[in-house]
Amino acid sequence: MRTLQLIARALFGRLSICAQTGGLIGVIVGFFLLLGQQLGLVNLSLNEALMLGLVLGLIAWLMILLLVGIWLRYGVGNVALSTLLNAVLTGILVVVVANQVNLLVLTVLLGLLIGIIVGTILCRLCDRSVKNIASYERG
Amino acid sequence: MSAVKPICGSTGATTDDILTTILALFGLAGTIYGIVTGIIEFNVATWSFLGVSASSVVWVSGILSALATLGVIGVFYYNRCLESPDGQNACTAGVVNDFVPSFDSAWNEVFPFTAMHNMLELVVKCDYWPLVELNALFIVCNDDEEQSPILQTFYESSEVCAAGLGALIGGAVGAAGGILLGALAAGAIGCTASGFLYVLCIIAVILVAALIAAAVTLAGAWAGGQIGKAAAEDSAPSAEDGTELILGDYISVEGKLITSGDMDGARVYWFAETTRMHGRSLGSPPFSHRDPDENLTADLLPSACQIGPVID
Repeated sequence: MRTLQLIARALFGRLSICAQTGGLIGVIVGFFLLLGQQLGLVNLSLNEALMLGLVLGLIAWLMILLLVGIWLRYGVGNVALSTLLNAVLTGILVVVVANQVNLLVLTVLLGLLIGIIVGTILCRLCDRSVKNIASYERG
Repeated sequence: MSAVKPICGSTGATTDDILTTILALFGLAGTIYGIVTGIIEFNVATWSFLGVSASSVVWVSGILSALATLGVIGVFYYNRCLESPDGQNACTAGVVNDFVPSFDSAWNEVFPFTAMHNMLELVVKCDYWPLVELNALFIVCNDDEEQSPILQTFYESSEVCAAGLGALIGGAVGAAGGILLGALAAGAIGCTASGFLYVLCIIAVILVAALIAAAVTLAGAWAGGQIGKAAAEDSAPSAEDGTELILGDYISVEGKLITSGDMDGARVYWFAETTRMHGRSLGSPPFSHRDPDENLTADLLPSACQIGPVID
């Protein structure tokens, strides 16, 4: 466990919590998509990929609510909206991109990377909107 | 000695140790599974075990889901009870502002492995502010007018560790049953639809196996955790002389200070080793640092706290 912790800190220790959450969403979506691909869900149409991404994103969101909201004590109400956006965007992007790439070896890794990127961008946008509101209030 | 008051809140990018470890666990496991099955050109077949037949992908879904759930329980148990993070032995003093017992929410009863150790909020004398601030990524402050800095002081709870170990054992037992049940349920689903409904059906088969395996693993963890908790002795925080601590007590605490990845990167006692009582405040929470500054004078404190807050 100590080794895993050291690897975890080296790989993901500098990521923000939204990026880490995004990465986790991406891994969950990527894993279930990979299993689906192994059962023949390849070369989906864009519509199918979008809908499947939405479904897997929502499932990953429920898991994140349990893990982050309840087990890690961030509070379901506090994280529900931000993680929903993160999960839907990550879910759709992972399925669409992985469906295009169609390399099963890379599906989970793609999910992880896309999730981290989406989470990082959302975190930055969120920071920016908070600053904009603050400057507006200061007038 | 007086010090400059630390700025409350985040002092840098905070992360979460448990979330980081779980991300690595899931990410590595998923990536390795993808690469290995890609290299060996994994062929879907029907696997049978103990009379249950299902697609190999369904079995994999259940097995990895149960293992992931067990892994999460293991990460919590390691974080709470086995990890011995580097820290700084220190002595600080102040007034007890709040007490958060272990198993403080209903969720901790349902998921006993998530329970946290007993924790006191100690509003420290200003002499000890450098210790609250040193290597901290987050400064926890009180709700009083002056937003006095707080040291979260954890007392190791045998109930929490017994519940964690029990949950791990119970989860392992549950995982075996969950994988079988998941495969049985998923194997019974036949996908004959076409178009997107077929896609949904395939995903449903995979999810049924995964969710049942995870749910039964968690049920086992609940049972094992509750058995472990019941078998352990309750260990409420108390002073050296056995007196149970209450709000408003002036205390000095010796123990190891760490930067806790589980507490937003705040400096916390993990764990308090020696606690001495030095009287009780006439005030009520939320306490200001001025209360112990004025009433908990240096001559009342043990030598470890008097010669300067840091032991080594």
